[in-house]
Amino acid sequence: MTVLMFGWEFPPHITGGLGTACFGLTKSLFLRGMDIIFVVPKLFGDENTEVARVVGADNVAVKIDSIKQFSQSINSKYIEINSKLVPYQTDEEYFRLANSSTVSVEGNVDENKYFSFSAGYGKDLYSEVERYAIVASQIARDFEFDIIHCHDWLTYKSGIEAKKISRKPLVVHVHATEIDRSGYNNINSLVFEIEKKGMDEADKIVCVSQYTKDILVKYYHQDASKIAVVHNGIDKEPLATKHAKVKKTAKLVTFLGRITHQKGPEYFVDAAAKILAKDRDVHFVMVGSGDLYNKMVEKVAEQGLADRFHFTGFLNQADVNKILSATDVYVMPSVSEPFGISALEALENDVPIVISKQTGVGEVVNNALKANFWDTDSIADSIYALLNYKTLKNTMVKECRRDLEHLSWEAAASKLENLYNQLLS
Amino acid sequence: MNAICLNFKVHQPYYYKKYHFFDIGVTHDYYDHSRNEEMIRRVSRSCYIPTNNMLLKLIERYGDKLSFSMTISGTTMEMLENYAPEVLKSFQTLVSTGSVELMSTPYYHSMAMVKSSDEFKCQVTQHQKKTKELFGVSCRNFANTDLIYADYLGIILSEMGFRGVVTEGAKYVLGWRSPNYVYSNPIARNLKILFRNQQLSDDISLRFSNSYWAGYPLTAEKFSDWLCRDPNHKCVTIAMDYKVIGYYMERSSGIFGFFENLPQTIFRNTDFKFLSPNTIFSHSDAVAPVYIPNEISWMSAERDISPWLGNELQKDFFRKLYRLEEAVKRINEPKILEDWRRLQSVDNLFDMNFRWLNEHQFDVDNPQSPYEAYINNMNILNDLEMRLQQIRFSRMVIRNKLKNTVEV
Repeated sequence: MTVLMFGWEFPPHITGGLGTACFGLTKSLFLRGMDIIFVVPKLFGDENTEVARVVGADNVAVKIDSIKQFSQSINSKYIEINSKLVPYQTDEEYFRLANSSTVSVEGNVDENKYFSFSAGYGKDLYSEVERYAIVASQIARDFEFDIIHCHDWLTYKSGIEAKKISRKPLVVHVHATEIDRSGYNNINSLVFEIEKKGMDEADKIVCVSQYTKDILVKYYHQDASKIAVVHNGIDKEPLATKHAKVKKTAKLVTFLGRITHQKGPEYFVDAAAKILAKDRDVHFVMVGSGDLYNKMVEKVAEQGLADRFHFTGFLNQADVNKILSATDVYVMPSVSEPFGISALEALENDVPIVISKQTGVGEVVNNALKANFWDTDSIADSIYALLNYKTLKNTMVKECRRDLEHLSWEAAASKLENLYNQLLS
Repeated sequence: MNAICLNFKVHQPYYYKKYHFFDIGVTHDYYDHSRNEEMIRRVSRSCYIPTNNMLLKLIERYGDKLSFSMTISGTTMEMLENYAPEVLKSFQTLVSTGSVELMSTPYYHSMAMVKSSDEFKCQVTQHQKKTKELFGVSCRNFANTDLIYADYLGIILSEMGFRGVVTEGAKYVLGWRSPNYVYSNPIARNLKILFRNQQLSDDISLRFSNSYWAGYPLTAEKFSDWLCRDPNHKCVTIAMDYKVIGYYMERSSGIFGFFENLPQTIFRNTDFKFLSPNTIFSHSDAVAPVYIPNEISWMSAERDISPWLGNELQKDFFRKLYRLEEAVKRINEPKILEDWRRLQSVDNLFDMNFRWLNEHQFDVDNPQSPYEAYINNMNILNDLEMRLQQIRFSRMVIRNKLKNTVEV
């Protein structure tokens, strides 16, 4: 069986859980004997190509004819949207913007055209999504495959295009929704529409948690029977083997993620303030970047916590690992978190976690300490207890790791395989 | 003589409020007062009042043919006194008939015996005093917190002058022996033991309202048949939580009708009498000693003390709690002593049980995770420790001051 997958990230070029999940699934599907064609917008050249045939959309020769057909099918020449929406924004310079924002359909029918992609999450995102879909229509013509599987809204249009051309079943994999990212009062309706269209057109919807399934049913009006929950797995290789333990002197509490509304950074700062009022012997670190970065720095300064509260900006995996290995408590106060792989990574390294009740990962780790994201008293209580009550820390980590035993990418891939087989039979 | 020996456990725990880490050293009030009041009222409404009334009527009807026993914890007596004096009165009326034997038990519904026999005796004595004060009776027999028992406890009880004890008829200690006889402690032979008949007790307390159970619906007729099923049944001990009647099993389950009909049916169909433990211990000799080296109880499938001391959180809290014993008793401040003793309630330990978490089912009366419970308990314990230190320190300061004055 050959699966045509559309993604946006593939290791080592990842910025969050999405890339990790795509790789984990791909690898395990490959080990189950499936062939994967993994399409990303742009090839950097150092992608892990052992487990999948990785195709860069920027390397695909697109026939002018395909472009014309695409334009006709969506009944418009080209859609260009200016938006400030940047769901996965990072402040990294390497996300340079694509250099062309309109698609030229001039030229001979036989002529080929290449598109360029930044493969980031910049302000040109919408036009990249459109271009990605055009290339997808060409890929659907060029390749042989049995099933189409696309990851998150950026690739849904591509999936729909590929389905239109190939008439193969389409699986959309929901790793996050606009509801999670922006809160349901604040959604970007264009993104929401793309997401809903993708789900409507899909033959099967896969999502990463029951929490997300509930959102899909409630806000996207999807039929619950069409949705399958496939929890993410975890790469069971502790940091200790990857990285030497960092020598440490102070207690360290860590927040790791994009500093955006979705991740609830302000609740972390509030909880830190409550702890520091009682115990100045604790350090807090916020790893990541995002649109609320400046606001958080200001908030920390206002509350006079700056000597105990540190910002690192965006860090690469090696540095993240270093910080994790020195961390005493990992906190994920997300407002809405479809899954939250990073919490599992912390646990795998014996770091106890405090997570909000609004996460998917809470469904698989019963023994994690959970609180509502807005309940900073409880979050602070949990952090304080984990820092001070050793038995609690040890017991919780031990019991959580037992919870994790059932969780693997293999199990996730096995569920996907069953699902593919059902769609093909 | 064929006897049916009824024992009701009457206990209502203290609920604690959410005690945050930033409360440590700041406030020393740990209790959720409004909830405690609400719960005791709710339980009174659905169970205590209607059941007391029903039993009172039955006693009036059958006179001395009907007697049974109750084990009322000290904390429950306190709460009834404070929040529902009219309900306390109804218990007093019931006891004043002379047909209800009150059993001795640790005042704070604790399992102090596991850690400190001294503390255990203090709590039993305190309970006896309170019982005497409120009900004017002395207890001659003992029913421990959730029927916890082991040989060493029997010896302590015998030394304290008790005649007998009611405990769980745990199959793994009884083996081939029937629970329906009077046994004795193997070392303190004068201490008699009644074993709870698991099957018949649970038929009422667990299965009565279960419509999937083969025995459903359980009627007084059926129950009296089962009572005589085994010709060797001599004295059958039926022990249960009082709250089963009316609270856990609502009125609509027919539980009140069942108990109303039970005496009449049993008198008509069998030669069983309802006797109190004291009467049974007076008239029956022990048939044999039973060795019980480790603690048994009526809780869970294991019938041991693992529901309270099964995981590391519970053991850690238990250890740290009793580590304070010496200091608490030396400082001897009534309020601190009371707070420390209330923390010993097995309800606090049970809240830290993992079973609830892993079965995704929560105690409806107390919907917190075992981790939350542990954090709360430990925060309170830390505050308690801090209070002890403060008092110790201030006494030291005063002592030094006085010493200096004398020297000058």
